Amino acid sequence: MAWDILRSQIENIIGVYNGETIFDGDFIGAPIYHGDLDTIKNAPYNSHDLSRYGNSDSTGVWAEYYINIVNMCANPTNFNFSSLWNSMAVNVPLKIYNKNKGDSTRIEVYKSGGSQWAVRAVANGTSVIIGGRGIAGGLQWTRGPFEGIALLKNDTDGSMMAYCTLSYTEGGNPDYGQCSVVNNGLSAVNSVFVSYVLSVVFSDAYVPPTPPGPDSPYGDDDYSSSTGGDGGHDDTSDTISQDAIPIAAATRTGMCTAYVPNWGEIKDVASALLDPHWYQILTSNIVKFSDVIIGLSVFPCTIPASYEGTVKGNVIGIEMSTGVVSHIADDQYVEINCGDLTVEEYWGNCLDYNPYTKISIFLPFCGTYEFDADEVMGRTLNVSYRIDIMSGACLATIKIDGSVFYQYSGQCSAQVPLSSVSFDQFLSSMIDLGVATATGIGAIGAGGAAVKEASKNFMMHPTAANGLAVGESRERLNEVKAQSGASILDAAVGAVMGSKGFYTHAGAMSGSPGFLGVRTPFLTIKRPEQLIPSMYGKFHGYPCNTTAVLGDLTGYTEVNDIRLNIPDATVEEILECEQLLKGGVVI
Amino acid sequence: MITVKAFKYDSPNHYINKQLIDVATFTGNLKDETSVIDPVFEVESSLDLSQTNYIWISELHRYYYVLNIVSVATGLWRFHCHVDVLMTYKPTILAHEAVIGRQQSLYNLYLNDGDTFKVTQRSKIQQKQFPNGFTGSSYVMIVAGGPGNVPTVAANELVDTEKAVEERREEKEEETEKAEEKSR
Repeated sequence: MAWDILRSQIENIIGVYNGETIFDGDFIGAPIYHGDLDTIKNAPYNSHDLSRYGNSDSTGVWAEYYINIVNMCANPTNFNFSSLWNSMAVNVPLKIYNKNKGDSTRIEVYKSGGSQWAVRAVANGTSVIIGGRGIAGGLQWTRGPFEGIALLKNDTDGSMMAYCTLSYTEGGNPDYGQCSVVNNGLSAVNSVFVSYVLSVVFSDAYVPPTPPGPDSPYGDDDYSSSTGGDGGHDDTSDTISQDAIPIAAATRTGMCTAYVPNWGEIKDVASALLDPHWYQILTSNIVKFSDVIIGLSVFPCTIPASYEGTVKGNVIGIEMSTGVVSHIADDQYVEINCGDLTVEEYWGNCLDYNPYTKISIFLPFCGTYEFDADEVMGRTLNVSYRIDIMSGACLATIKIDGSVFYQYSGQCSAQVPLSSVSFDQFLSSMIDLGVATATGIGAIGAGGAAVKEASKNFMMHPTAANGLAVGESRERLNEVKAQSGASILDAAVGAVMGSKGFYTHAGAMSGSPGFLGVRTPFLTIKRPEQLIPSMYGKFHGYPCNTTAVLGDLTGYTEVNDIRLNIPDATVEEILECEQLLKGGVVI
Repeated sequence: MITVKAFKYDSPNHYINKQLIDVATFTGNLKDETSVIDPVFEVESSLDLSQTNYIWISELHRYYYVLNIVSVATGLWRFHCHVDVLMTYKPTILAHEAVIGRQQSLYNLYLNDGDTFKVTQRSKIQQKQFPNGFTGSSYVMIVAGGPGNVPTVAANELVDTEKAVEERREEKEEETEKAEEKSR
C-alpha cells in the first residue's frame, strides 16, 4: 500500500538506465508516511544517530525509519534496483536530483570497478565523494544486495540533502543502510536528521496510473511488423452437382395414377366419361367428376410411359373402368437435357466481361434471366429441365462447366378444363401466374377483384418484366462513370455501355403462353463494338502493370513508379528524367 | 579545351535512343561561365549551322537539344541548349527496374484503365441457341386410385348394376314373404 502511494507521488520518473539515466524525483511535499515519518520529522535535530551501521537488528529510530522505507518496498520486485545496478557502466553515474531545482545539486551513484561503488555529492559546483564501498574517503559502506538509493531531505529548501542506500536480504530482514548528507558541498556525517523521503529511485520505470474514462475507440497502433499478403490462395472449387430425382412419387402410392394416353385414347376416355349413365352413378353417389379425373394436362415433351393399363378410377370403393387401354407414366418426374453451349470471348479483353458485355438466357416456360458475364464467359453452359407431371411444375437448372449455378422454376403444362368450374379456375390461375411472374408479387391463387386489379396494374405500370426503368438505367450509368471517371463524350466503354439499358425480352412464359412461344433455350449476348486505331499501341501503349527492366522493353513505354539512381546526374536532371519516363518514352 | 559535336537527329524528342547525323565538330575553350544543364555558347564557323538541332559536349559529358540558334554575326553562331537526360544517361536508365503502366508490346488487355478501350454507340447483338429443347407433346391424365383388384363395374354394365340392385330387392321381398308364410 505504502509503496503504491509513494510511487504515485513520484512524478516524471524517466526511463531506465542508458548510460546517464536521470531519475527525476519530485518533492513529496508532505510527509507521505505518517506515524514514524512524522516522528522522525518532528524529532529534534541530532536526536538520531543515523550513522549506525553494521547492526542489522538495530532498534534505533534510524533503523526503524530504515525499516519503514524497506517495508514500503517489501516486494523486491517492485524495487529491483539490482538489475539496474548490474546494467550500469563503470564510472557512468546515475544522477538523483530534484527536478524542480535542476541537477546542480545532486547525488551521483556509480560503479568504480569490480564490486566497488561510490556516491558523490555535487552541489554548487563542488563534487565530493560522500560514500561508497572500497572507496577512499568513503566513510560508510553497505553490504549488499544493493537495492537502491533513497534521497532524503531534511529541510524545505533542499540546501541539505541526504541519501540513504537501501538493502534488502532474502530472509526479509532488512540490512543496514548508510546515510549521509550534503550540506553546501560538504559532507557531514553522524548528524543526519531525516524528515521525509524526497524520492526513491528504483530500477523499473514508473508507469502513471491510467486516467479514468472511456476506452479509446481506436485500436492500439502496432507497427512492429507487417500484416497481410498471406491469404490462402485457394483456387479450388467444388462442383455443385444436381441431386438425384426423388424416388418418393405420388404415382407410386396407389392414390392416383398418371396415364399418358395418345390422342385417340383421350377421345375414347372422353366418350366414356360423357356417357349419361356415368352421370347417374356419379350424382346418385354424390361423387363429382373431378373426384375421379383429377386432372388432364398437355406437356410439351414426350413422357416416358412403358406400361399399359385400363383407364379406371377408384372412388369410395367403387372402381369405375372406362374400358380404354392407355399407357401409364414410368415416373412422376421427367428430365430433359437441352444440351451444352460454350460462350466464347469476342475481343479477348476486358470488354468481354461485366459490365460491358451483357448476357441473358431465355428459358422456355420460365422466362428471360440475366447472367453475370463474368461467370459464363469462356465457359460451357448446360441447361436441363426437371418436370413434375403431377403438378406441371418445372425446374430449369443451368450448369457452368458442370457445376450448378442457376436454377429457375416455371410451369410447363397446359391444363385441359374438364368442367365449367375447372375452366374458371383455369383462367384465374393463368392470370395469376402471369401477374406473379411479371411483377414478382408471387400471389398465385388470388381470385376475383384482386386478380382483375393486378392484371390492370400489370398492363398500365410496366416493371422490370417489361423493360428497364429509366431510374435504374441512370443509376447504372452513374455507377460505371464513377468507376471509369470518363464521360460519355469520350466514347470510353464504361460511359457508353453504362448508359445503355438492358431489356428483358420476355414476360411471363409459364403454362399455356409457353406453348405458344419458343421452346428451346437460347442466349442473347450484347457486346460493345470496340474501336481502337491500328497504331494505338505505338502512340499510347496498352495497359501493363508489371515490373520490368527498362532495357528489356521495346517501343512506347510509360512508367508508373521508378527509383532513379543516376550518380552522374544532378537532382534537376533526375527529376526531369523521371518526369519524362512517366509521361512516356520510346525505348 | 572542349569538343562540341553538332548533330541533326530526326527522332521524336521522347526517344531514348536517337539516330544522330553528324554535322560538324568543333574544339575550343569556354570563354565564360556555362550552365551544365542549359549551356549557352558561341561557335565560330563558316558552315551553315542553322539546321543543327543536337549537340554533344565532351567535357560536360552530356547531350543537348538545341533550343535556339542565334546568328550573332557572319560565321558566329550562338547556341542555346538544354540537356537531353534520356540520351545522356541511357545506359543507366535502361538498367533500372520500374513498374510499367503502359507498354506497346507487353500488356494485359484484361486490365481496364478507363482510357484505352473506346467503343461506338452501336452494340453487337448475338443469339446462341442450345442444341435441344422441348419437342413433342403428351397428354397426362391423373385419375384417382390406381390399378388394383377391387371388383370392377364396367361402363357398359352400369345399367345392369341398377337392375341388379332392383332384382336383389325383389328377391329379398320374396324371401321375406316365404318366411312369413312358413311361420303361419
